[in-house]
Amino acid sequence: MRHTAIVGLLALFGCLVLQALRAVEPVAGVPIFEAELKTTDKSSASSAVEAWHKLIEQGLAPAATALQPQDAVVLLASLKAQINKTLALGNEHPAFDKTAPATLDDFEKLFWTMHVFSNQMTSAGRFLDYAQTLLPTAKKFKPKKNDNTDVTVLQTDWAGIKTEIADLWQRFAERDRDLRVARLNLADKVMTESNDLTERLMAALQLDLDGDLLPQLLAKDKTFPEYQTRKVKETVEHARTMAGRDFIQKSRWLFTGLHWWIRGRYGMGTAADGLLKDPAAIKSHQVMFGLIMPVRTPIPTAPTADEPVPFVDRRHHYLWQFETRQIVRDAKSTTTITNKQFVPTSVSITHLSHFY
Amino acid sequence: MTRTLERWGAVSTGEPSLISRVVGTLEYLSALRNLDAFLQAASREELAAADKFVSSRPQFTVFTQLADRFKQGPGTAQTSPAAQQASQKRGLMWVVALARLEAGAILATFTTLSTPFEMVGPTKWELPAYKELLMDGAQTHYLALANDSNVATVALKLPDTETLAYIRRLNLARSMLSAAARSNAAELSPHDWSELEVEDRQLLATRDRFVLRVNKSLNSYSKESKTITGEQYTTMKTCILALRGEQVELAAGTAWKQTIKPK
Repeated sequence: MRHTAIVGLLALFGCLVLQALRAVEPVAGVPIFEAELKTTDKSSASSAVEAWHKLIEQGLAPAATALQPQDAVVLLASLKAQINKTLALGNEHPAFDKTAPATLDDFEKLFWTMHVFSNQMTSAGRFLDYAQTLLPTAKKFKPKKNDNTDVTVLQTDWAGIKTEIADLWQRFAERDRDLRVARLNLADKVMTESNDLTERLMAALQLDLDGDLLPQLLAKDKTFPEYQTRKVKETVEHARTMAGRDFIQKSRWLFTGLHWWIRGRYGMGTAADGLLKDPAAIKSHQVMFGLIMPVRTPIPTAPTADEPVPFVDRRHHYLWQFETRQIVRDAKSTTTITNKQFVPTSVSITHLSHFY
Repeated sequence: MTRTLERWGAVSTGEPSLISRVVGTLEYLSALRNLDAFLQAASREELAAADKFVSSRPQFTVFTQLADRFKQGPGTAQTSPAAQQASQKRGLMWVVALARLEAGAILATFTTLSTPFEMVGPTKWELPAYKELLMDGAQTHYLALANDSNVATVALKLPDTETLAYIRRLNLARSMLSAAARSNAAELSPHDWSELEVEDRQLLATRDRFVLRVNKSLNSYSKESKTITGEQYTTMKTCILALRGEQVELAAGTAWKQTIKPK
């Protein structure tokens, strides 16, 4: 799942990367950031750093231009700051609250924030890895007179940060496990005691998810007491019996359908302003599935809003605008051409102003 | 039901790959496959419970009355809180209807299927919402085309990929208008119906201008034995296929998309 998302993101960021590289392109031998930093425009420097962060998050930084020592120091400091920010967020994350959520609704919201934070942690790990590859270059930096570049970052205990990240991952994984167990117990309670069908449909969804996942996770988890693992299995069986196979299937149809609907409504492809997928989608299931999805739950706005959510009011308002045709290998040919000689479709777009 | 989509009819040259690439094909059809199964299996109480769940989640809100912005001119769309509130629809019925509309529109744009909006399997349950979205969509497309000063220029020029885009747009607009008229027929007043007739005739007249232009180019190529680029040839061929779909259906007596007759 994560892999397919990354494949989609990589394709999207193909164009962003080009922009990012232009933003940090060296100017006639001047170090990449220096031209920006020498100006008093801090926002330019900050954009250049952000562009590098994006490259690193997408695993594309090694292919980008090699950095000058001074740039490496600046980037290193920004990476350290970002990692520390993520660690601070993690330590205060609501997942670590002493009490578990009281309703399935609250569980749903909490698990979503955990999913988002998990992605941030993945990025922090990539920042750390890249920081370590930057160190040798950064250490070559020799400040000149009146140079105010902050070099304290060179004294950082990167091994200590690595341990902190690993510890947070561990605590996070354990908390995720415990919250899933708590949610399973609540779902079982709802299935046993509640007549509210909306609540029961949601409980069946959680049961469907955790009922399969938890026993697998616990089987590999040596820190989880064996008697509790047995208890979880019993709870799953009990809740399934109370729900009934048909009801679980209906819940699965409903929520799977809604999940696909959300992808159709808010998902963006990597081509044609987000309305099309990459041409590779024709041959690859992974690319076909990959979409850019909003990080936070989207709240739709009126279509007349300045930045409407979703980004198009209806897809069918825009789809006709793709000017597609098949291109023939030879520049010139006659009307005797057969379909076999055609190569894949290309796309251009009629101006949007023709619609609105 | 959605599974009827497994039998996709004749599709214009090169289009299947594009249909697959459109964001919404896999997504909305998969949504419908699951939601249709739920609608069929669920009891009335379970449907109500699902509807309550969807209504309580803002991400499932569907905005309607999108054609209004054209009726009142650019920049003067209804912005009063009451009007905006009325245009926000919540509930499972609207979610299902929107999925059908978008899936049907993809078929209408990139295939020569005669009944794209029926192919996506509407049910009585969400029909009120589907009918409203179809009419709103048809009016949006009609008014947008009527306000597009570029149509006349494109209809006159040597057929190219932009011509193809406009032919697709006209096909979609006519398909949607036809489906909107048929599904809303019982509720439409004679006045409303005659307005739809006028719109349909205008769309057909515009389409005929494209037909004439494409035919003229085709005749000129065959009479004068001109050599054209492969690109021109394939574009022309796709234009002809996009235009021919309806004619073939009409000739076979299987077309649903046809000029709206007086009520």
